[in-house]
Amino acid sequence: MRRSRTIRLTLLAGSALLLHACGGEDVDSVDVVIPNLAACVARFGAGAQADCERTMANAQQEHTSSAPRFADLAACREATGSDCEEAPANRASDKALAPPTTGSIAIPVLAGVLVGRMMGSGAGRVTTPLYAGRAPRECPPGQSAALSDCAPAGSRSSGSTGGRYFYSGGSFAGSTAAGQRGAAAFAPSPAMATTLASSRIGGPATVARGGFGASARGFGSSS
Amino acid sequence: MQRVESPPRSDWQARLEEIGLTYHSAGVEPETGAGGGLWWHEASHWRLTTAEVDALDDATVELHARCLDAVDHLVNREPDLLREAFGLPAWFADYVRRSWQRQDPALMGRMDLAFDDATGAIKLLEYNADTPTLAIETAVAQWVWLQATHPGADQFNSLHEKLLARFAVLAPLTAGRPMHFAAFADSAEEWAHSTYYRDLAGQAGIEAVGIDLAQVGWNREAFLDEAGARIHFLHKLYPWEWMIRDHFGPYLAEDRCGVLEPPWKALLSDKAILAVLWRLFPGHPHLLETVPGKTRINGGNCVQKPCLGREGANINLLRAGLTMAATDGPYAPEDARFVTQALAKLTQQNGWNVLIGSWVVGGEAAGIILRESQAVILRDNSRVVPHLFN
Repeated sequence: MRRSRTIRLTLLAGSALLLHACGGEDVDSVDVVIPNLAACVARFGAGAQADCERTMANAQQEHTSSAPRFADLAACREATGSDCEEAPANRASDKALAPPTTGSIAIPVLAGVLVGRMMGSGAGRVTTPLYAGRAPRECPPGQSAALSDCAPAGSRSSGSTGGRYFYSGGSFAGSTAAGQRGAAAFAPSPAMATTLASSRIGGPATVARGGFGASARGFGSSS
Repeated sequence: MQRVESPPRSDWQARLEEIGLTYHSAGVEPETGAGGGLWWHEASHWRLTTAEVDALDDATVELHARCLDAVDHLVNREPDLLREAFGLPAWFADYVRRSWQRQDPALMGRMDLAFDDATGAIKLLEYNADTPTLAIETAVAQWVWLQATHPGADQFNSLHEKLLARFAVLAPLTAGRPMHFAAFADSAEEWAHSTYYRDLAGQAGIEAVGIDLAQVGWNREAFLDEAGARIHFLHKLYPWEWMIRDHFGPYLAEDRCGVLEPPWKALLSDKAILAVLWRLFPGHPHLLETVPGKTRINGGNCVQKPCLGREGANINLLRAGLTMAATDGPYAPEDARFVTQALAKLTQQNGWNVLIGSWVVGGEAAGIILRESQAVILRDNSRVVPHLFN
């Protein structure tokens, strides 16, 4: 009011993401990992160029805040099994973590964006930044399988022959099969599958869901 | 106030979609050209004077302070009214009192004001203190419109920066734990607003997590998100009067998570507060005479509205005791509570009535958004129009 100002929007500007189906018949029924802008445009069509640019930029920004933090690159690589990069220590918790000499921390690099299938009534798609890592439950380097509850490094669980494993925040998110280029079909972990199926009511047996919202039937809750 | 018709931006739909306002035409194919939109409408705008803006600012701050007085009065002096006049179940009345007495922080609210530019009278019609919408339209859409069309003019609008500042005040209270923002994922308007608040909270240093309201979980000890993480703080766009009827409602009163808006806001968003305000501050220049029930006051020039109505539904407007306008809607079941409020005059020009939505963030006035309609009762489908002043 009464002065010029700049409005900075990050999430909201990206929420308009609809990525309308174009060409590919499975584009609305499969979750995919998109490694880069070119793969996004290849999958969703040239008309989605602006949406794709925004999606990738938002994912990078969100990734920078949601990725796990480590004091240095070596610790990051060891813990995540991922390529890592330095990031400025912006938050108070980052500053506590960062070595005083560098003032920066390390985070895994963004490996791609999970773009979920179109939600009901064309409400858009879930998008989540992902980083790549080792197979879930594989022992970090230097950790013995005999002493910890993990599988020896390099071993592959059955059925996963050279596929890629992806993480979101600190959690295993899912995998893609080997040899896929561009947008790769994504097999979500159970937790991620629940997140993606955001219209589904229910969940693990010990957690009751759907306890809010019933009173809204036939109403709009705005005022 | 002056109503001005001016050409909409040629690409106004795209400009709105860029800022996340995808629901600009209420699901109807947007009208192009001079017709402007159906929900967001920029083929007209209203011009205010600096004096009018100052008066609206002062009235909003004054009314919000009196509203807090009324909540304090109810909670501490007439708690029986929470059950008798507001119809609250005992457990929720206790929760409301507790939340007020320990000063649970609030974020925002929007008053609907009747402003008569002929006399300068500003009157409170109601206070959407719990689940106000139109925040994106106010804070972002009309500001972007102003920059594109009238870069030299000013606007009564500090909603964006006041919300950002308010989240920065709330941030240390979260002690580094995330805040979950719940909304219906299949409602474009709600989800966009929830996303906007997440955006602001994130910029203020709060870890903001979005969740579909129906996906909120309860494991008998805590509320959980879809990944099974505990919800310590819940921001909702779902009114308290519905939350308390839902299966999980009573679990909120176990105080396992903080809620925005806090429970005490349920008293302000119930129109029964308008009768309490008039009883406590009779003759206040910004209040309209209001009494409980469906009756006739003010020489039969009055409006009967349901205490928990929304969007201008189920309202009867009387002049000289005769019903002149009425709206239908789902908010008037047989046991619904009503108030009757003296009829206020809205500014009208060329057949268009204008209603002023005036924002409160913290205790401060944070700008306005206007709605205009040719009908005397403004509804959820009334146009949202921008304004400026100079």
